Amino acid sequence: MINVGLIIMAVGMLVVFAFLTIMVVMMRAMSGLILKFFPEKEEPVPVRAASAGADDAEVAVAIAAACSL
Amino acid sequence: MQFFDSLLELWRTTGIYGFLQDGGWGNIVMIAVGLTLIYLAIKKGFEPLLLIPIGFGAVLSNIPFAEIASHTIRTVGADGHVSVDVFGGFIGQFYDMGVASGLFPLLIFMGVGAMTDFGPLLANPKTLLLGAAAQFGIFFALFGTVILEQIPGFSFVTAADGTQLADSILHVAGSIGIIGGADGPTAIFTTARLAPQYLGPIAVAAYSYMALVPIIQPPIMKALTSSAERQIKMEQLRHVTKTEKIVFPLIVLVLCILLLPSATPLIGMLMFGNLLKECMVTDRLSDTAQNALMNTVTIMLGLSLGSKMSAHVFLNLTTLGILLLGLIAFMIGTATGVMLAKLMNKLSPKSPINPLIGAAGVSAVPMAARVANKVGLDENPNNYLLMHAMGPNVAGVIGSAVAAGVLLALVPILGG
Repeated sequence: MINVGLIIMAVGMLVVFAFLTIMVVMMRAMSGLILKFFPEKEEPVPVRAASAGADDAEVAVAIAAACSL
Repeated sequence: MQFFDSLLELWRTTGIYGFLQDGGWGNIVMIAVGLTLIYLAIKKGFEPLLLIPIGFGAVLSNIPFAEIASHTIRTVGADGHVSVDVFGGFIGQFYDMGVASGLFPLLIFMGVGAMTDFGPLLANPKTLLLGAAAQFGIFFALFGTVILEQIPGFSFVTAADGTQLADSILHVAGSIGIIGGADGPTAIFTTARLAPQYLGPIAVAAYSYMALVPIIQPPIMKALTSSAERQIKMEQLRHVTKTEKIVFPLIVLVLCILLLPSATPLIGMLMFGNLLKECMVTDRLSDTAQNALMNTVTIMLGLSLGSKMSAHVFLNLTTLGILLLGLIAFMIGTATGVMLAKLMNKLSPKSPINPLIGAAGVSAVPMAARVANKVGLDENPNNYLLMHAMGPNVAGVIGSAVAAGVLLALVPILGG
């Protein structure tokens, strides 16, 4: 049984390493392909309309509240 | 006369009478163990979400005559028709439905997947190897169990009264080793398959050591690294696109299908949960998987595990062996993770890895990553390692699931 224990130890570590090494390779390839062919579009910064006055006031209140803590 | 007979009969159904019967003292001790777990959870904050259900389950299952943990008894007729003879107690039914079948750990794994961000891993794929190295503890403890079994008078396979507790020593060894994966659901899933008699002690050991990560790991990490190594600053992680995060679970799944189908229940559910989170169109399902469903399952799983804390198995010298081997597995896993990080630095000094994050390779998400971060901050208060450590940390979850897959595939064949 000691032999079998050693075998499982060796085979197990080998398989775990092999599996994760293959994963590293696959992930590198995947990231390379995706970044090359499907680059993320630059998200346009949402520009708020001028009517954001109320929001600004709310933000100012929030900041004031946070500062007074 | 009938009056006194009735009183006597009633007396014979009381708990006090039950505790005085043969084996009753074992019930009392296990109720005390359950209460100790509840105390540790409430007072010391050790994994309360799990230890309170486990502790209460242990109390409930050891009540004389209540048969709360008894299993449903079925008979299969000659025509294949299954009929239920006696319904089990409610915790026994939870156990049959969710633990013996492996259902609960898988549902929890789905929730873990829905909570996990694989971004840090995608940004730095080579940290996957650290998650592999830290699994050495599993196999080391497996070997240690086989060695311990050679000691005369000490056996995991047969109890002192000659009861067979497992199919072979390898079945027990695999289950004990998996504690070193520091991953509760994986440990339960594997043990339920290989050596269900040992579920109680193994689950308790696995979750206790996960709670003890901040105590067990730092001395090992400090002993194996120099101050200069602990101060290594790592490059900032690159931005990972949404597409990568969506494709990642599918690729891992395909890889697992092709190479290691025995690990697909675990990896499959992990990746399913992760896809729910990342694809952005199933937020409701993702929310359920990581909150409502996970909490429901945790309650039933905890109670079921508590019911496996029977005096028969727990109050035994072998439990000490399990606790000891589990601890060794954990420590070895931490050490090999750190050592591999150092080796990788030797081989490619260009983009150095802080060896502390190697210790996070033993899953225990996110506790192990936090510990790596904290030990790093002790050395240099401006060196934040948390995001870097999350890479090997989630890699450890995949690594221990793969190790479990290997054990589930090999042990039944070699153990006979």
